[in-house]
Amino acid sequence: MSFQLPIDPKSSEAGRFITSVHEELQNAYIESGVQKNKLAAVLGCDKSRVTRVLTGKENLTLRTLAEFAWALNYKPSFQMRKNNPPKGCNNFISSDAKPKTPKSTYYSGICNQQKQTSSSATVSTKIYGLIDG
Amino acid sequence: MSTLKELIENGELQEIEVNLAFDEQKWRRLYGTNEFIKWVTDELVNLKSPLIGQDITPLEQVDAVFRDFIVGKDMQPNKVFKKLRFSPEVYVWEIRTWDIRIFGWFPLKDHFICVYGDRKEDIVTFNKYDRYIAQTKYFREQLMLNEPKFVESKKIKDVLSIAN
Repeated sequence: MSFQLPIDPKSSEAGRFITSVHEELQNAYIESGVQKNKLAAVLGCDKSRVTRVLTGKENLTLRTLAEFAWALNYKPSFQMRKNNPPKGCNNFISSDAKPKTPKSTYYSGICNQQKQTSSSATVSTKIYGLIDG
Repeated sequence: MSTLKELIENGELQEIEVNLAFDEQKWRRLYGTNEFIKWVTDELVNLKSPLIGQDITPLEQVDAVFRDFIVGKDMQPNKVFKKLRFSPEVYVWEIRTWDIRIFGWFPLKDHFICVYGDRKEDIVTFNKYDRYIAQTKYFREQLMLNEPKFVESKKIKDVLSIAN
């Protein structure tokens, strides 16, 4: 017996994206080796705010993200790409080749997800270090 | 005594699934007790973040961390925020998000059983940590699972492998 987490695809995509952006910023902070008090001084804010942003206790706006990246000597980048599975992929489902009965719950879940998100795009954010070029 | 598979067939545990993208595959397995599943469907879905201005709900946080777990991501990618933490002495672990704590244990490497979930704010305010850890241990002792019931290690590399 399995239990599917009751979340709609839109909320799921939003939550995963926000979480991944925070994680990317945290990784950049760790990799930079910059101390919080120094970061706060460069940004002109309190150390407590730096902590709040890094630990996800404050909503991360694009401006905040850009400012933190600048202060850490990183350059953020943002891209959007189509979320369609490539042809030949195991889960590729053409309009005329949909299975009448899903082989398993997992496959069924994927089918449903593809139906719901076929027109959506995947977004990703990376923060690149300037020091390493 | 039963295997994990038999406990699922008997309805004592449920395997937890999340939506995966076309380029993602299961690397690890998550299970939930019936009480945990009830908490998800009755409470978690309605919770709001207590953090002012936070634009990600507790349910979205749990979905994100469950997805990371299932696809085999590193659960402690940096020291700023650990998504998985060991609770001392009794081999109980907690899956963590900004607002939520989920207590459980590893019956096998890469397999986690979720037993209790609650808001971090409530756990801290009402000092519930010890209680949840003790209750998780008690549940594990009562569960008719084959021995050894848990991975007896405090090291994350002994309970999790990371997908390539």
